[in-house]
Amino acid sequence: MILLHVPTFSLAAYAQGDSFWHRLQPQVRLAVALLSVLGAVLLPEGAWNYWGLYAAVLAILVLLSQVSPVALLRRLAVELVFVGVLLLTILLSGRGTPLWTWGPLVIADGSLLTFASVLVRSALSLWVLNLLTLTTPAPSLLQALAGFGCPALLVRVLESMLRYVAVLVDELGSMQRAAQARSGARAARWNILGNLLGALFLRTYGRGERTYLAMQARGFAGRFPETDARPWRPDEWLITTAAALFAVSTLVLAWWPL
Amino acid sequence: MHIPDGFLSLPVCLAMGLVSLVILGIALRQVERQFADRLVPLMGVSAAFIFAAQMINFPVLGGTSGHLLGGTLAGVLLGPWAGTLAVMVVFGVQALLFQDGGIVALGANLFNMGFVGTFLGYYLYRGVRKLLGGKSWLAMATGTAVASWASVVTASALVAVQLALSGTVNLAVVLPAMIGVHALIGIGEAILTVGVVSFLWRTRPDLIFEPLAPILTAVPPIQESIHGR
Repeated sequence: MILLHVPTFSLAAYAQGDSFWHRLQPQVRLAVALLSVLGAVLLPEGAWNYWGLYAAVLAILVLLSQVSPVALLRRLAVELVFVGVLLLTILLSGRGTPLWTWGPLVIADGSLLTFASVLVRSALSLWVLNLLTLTTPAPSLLQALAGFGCPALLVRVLESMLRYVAVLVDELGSMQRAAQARSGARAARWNILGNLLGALFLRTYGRGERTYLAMQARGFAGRFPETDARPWRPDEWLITTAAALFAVSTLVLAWWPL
Repeated sequence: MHIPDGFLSLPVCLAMGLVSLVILGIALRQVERQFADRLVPLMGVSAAFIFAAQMINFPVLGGTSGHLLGGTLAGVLLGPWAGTLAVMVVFGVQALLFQDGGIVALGANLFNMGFVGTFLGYYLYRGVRKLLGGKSWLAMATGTAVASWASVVTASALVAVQLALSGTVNLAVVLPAMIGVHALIGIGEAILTVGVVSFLWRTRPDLIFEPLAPILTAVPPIQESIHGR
């Protein structure tokens, strides 16, 4: 009755590689990734040629970055199934002329176009962001965010959230094992769900609070030392400018065709 | 209720994005003025909890499913501003990392579920609790239940209005549909929120936000925080 989709949190499995992509510092990777996500997402509906262009560039980037395409595809498949279920409501929203009818379900050409476009947009941005998170550890990404002028408090909340998600999944696992050891029910029922979630919340908070206080006692003042901050190299500027130009020019060409 | 990209028109997206950016700025400033250091772990765990809880889908009539929005939960635990900040971080991460909700439509999603869900949830909860006499479990539970149901339904009505303003669908069609479905989802939200808050009320009442007796702004009792529960 209750589906639990806990996403894979084995982030940054390919952080240690040595390639063209890895030699760019995290801030540059983040900038390039965000530029291409924004560029791909802001394209108008049905801009298949431009999306194809993005896919080609991304495929080259994957080959260059030495990330296993199989691992990337597996993650993409899991995430796309999750997104696809959410997007079914778009497909069945019935805008435009009906193409196919089965009982109350109508697929119309307008909603089919929107569905396909949203699906391609999500696939492309998932592709970029998975490449980014597979190759770049979360602390470096957060430092890169702070380097772009993101408020420190926001970065700290983001950081503690990402850490707590891992703790939460961990605690959930041990609670499930404990319940199984007591031969408890595998599926939670409504009447105990609140207690279950409350206990999970408290266990996670307790563990996190102890760690946080221990860190404070050792002099942690809310900021990790920056390890890999250095000025951008000329080729890093070049890459970022190229990404920005690519995004802007495809957007201009797609919205205002010659 | 996450709006994907391609559903809202650009003016609506831009307007909502601007409003959300301003709210985010105010929330950051407000939280910094409180005792932010003490709040960061609680904000982090609330955000992580809401993030994970949103992956639990409960089925609603007709094959659709709903999930926890968590605005009221965050408001009850963290107060309105820190709660808004925590929930906004959740929706930002979901949009960027998991494509749940569009990036261009992020402003609208942040406003509907992050700001309105938390603020309305918090103040309704406070109002109902005060009306029923404040300190009892019944007052707290009733306030939480009413607030979580109402905030979900209001957020869904806002989504309907934004969709209609964008010219995607007709308001007369989408408003009753959204409210109808979310009146049911709201019941699930109310059950889950009351369950979690009641558990915390019994075991760690100090975690529940109380502006009347400001625990979080005072110097924390050191013995208690080191030796934990």
